[in-house]
Amino acid sequence: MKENIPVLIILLPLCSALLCLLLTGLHKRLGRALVVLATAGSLVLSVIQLRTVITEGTIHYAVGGYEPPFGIELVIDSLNALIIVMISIIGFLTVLFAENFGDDRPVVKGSANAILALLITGLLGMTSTGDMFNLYVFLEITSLSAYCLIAMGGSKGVVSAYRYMLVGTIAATFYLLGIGILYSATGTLNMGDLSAILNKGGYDDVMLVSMSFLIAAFGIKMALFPFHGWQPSAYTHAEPGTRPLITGVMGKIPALAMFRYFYCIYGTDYIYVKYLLILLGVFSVFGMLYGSLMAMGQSDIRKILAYSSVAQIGYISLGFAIGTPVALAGSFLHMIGHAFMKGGLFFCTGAIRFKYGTVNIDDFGRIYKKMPLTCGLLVVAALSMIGIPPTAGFFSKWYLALGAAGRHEWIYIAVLVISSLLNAVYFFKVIEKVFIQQDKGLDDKWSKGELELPLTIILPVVVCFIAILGIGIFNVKLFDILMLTLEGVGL
Amino acid sequence: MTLILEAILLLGLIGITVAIIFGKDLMTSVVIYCAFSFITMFLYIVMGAPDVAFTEAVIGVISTVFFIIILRSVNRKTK
Amino acid sequence: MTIIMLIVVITVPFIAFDVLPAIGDPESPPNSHVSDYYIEHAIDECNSPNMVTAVIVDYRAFDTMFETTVMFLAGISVVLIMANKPRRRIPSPGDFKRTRNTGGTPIYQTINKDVMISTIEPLILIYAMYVLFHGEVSLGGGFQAGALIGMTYLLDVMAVKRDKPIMNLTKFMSAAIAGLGPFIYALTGIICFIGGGLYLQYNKLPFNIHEAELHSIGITAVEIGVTIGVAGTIITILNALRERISFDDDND
Repeated sequence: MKENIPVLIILLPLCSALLCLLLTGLHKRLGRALVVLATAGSLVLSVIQLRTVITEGTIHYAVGGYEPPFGIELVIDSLNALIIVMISIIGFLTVLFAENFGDDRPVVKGSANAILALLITGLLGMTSTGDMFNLYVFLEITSLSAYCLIAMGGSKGVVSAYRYMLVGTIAATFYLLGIGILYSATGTLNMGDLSAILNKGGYDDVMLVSMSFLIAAFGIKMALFPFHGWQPSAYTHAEPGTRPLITGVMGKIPALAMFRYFYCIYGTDYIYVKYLLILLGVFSVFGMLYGSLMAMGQSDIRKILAYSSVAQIGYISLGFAIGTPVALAGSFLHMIGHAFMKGGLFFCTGAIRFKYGTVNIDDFGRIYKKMPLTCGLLVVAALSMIGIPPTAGFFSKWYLALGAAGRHEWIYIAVLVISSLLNAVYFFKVIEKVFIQQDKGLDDKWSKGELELPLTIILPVVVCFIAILGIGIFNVKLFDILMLTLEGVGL
Repeated sequence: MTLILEAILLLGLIGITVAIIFGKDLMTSVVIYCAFSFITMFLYIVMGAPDVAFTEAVIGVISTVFFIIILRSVNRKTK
Repeated sequence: MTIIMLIVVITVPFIAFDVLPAIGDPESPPNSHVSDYYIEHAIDECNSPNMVTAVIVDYRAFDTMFETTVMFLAGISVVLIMANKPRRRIPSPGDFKRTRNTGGTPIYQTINKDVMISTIEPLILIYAMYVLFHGEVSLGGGFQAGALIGMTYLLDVMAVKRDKPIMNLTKFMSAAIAGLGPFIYALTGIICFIGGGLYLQYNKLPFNIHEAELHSIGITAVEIGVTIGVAGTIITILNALRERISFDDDND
């Protein structure tokens, strides 16, 4: 039974999503209890899997008993295992958090929990798989769940979801075209087999054409600079209970898939690699500057955080553009840290909206007296986004700068520093409004018990606080785990 | 021979798409979408996939009925 | 701007798609690398002469499970987005110009459509069952059978005038049934754990039958799951739409 853990991690949320609606018809709370149990089980199994991968090496699991390339296989190395743990933790916290928002009718409650569980299934599957078409199927599950969860946020949410749906369908079509061209040139759909065939040489034109389609597809999905148009309004108007999962995790997993295609399948012996890296570098630099500049002028805190997400994706693809193993480890450390940072910030804003009903930062005067834990997380997450030690953000930027200095790319280091300073401008504005500005006298919507907020909101806040500090303090251990995979990859 | 048949079907598909985009009434577009689905079914048979053609025939009918139900409650003239 | 995009979209494929091989070329890599294995071993490993079914439900069964989940997801999305009460639609003066027709009665009577449709429906259902169970040996399979069952429900509800419908499902109940379909699919894979195999390894189902028959049992159970999922989704979307949109020949 122990060797079936890779599949069980994906199966548990899936079965709970399929049965959730049936159980909600019997009793109102039963469906949600099943989803909470399933995500907790998935979290425990993913920690066991991480320990197995560190001690024993990469796991290959052939579904159905057929050896690859004739069947589908799941490939889990240390990078995948670490990201699966991250997705499980944030998924579990969001399922707990999402109970406080939304309608109370059984139809809406059951369907919303089912779609949340399916989003977690799609993200877990997209990380584990080792087959190209299977990645497309999981990409579709993730995208469709996200469209529906964004459309639940009122009438503005429906418009944003429609725009995201149009752009996302074009991205999925480009991805299918890309893997169709690769399949018609080599005849196989398995990632390991494909890299073995492509490394024999002679496929340069095919690889260039399909790589252009794949960069366009993944760029749209992760909101890289020129393709980011759907992102700010979609993140702002999503349903407040599910926003931490969508914003913290969903934009990053296509970046992991792009890394798999670019570095693991294509390799760096390819003649056009230099031009593609320069292209990625240009996109990242403009993304970082644009995101930080646009975030400085907003007064709605959700829009500030949405525009800063555009900048943070720029950091991750900057790591891909630099190419050395140290820089790649820095960008994946940033991916893991940013999920807790951005997720934590959206937990905070959701909590403030739950208690006071406002999202405008001009109304945030002196909230720290009434909600100390939440403002503590707000301050730590803001410091981490700027990049101040010992929080997680500093170490990931340090590794990125180290990698850039190793390849003598001084422009990237300059842009890193400038965009950190721009981040400081708007995050200090938020902190100033929380601590120094006069109290606006907002009325309190929830005040039973001694705790400032219900337990299902306090628990995610505390866990994110501990995680941001923990990733910062233990970053050398995480760097070693990442380097188990990234040792021979990259320039 | 197969090439001529495929060419006729594909050119017809392009003509139908132009008619869908430039139609003034939404009901016209929906009915022509049913014809689009029908010609796609022929293309699947010519390409050698009868399972897919069977599914496309049934789904074409069902999706056209859904569109006509929705059109009852929205404004039918495009500007 | 539109003209530039049109020119780009039309000329780029001619340049970029030169790398694709010709259709039907027997030496090209898709037709020779992995497909040879499927063609030679489909009958003795999977016990199914229809190779399309063998590939999608046996060799790559993991993909088909998630495709069925995508269908269920589409059904639930329609339920969730349409769960609010509609605003009252103010009728414009142009709405009343059509001549009103009392419901269900055609203008001139040739054949009684209620009797005709009520006679055909059981035949469509029998054909759907035939397509489902013969998916291994001829055309068909789970998706086609589910779509036919959904179409029968659609025909019965929309086209026939009845005082009380035969099966009165709300969107909540039909969405719950649609969720059972992929769950049966996933359960078939989990039962394979009991016999000691990997996920969806039909050889190791814990029944006491000859090995080739185990593949047939596995494939049939999986196809039944797919059928219930697809039929449930079509019925769910139909019910979700009908609860919000009223027709002018409803008698209330």
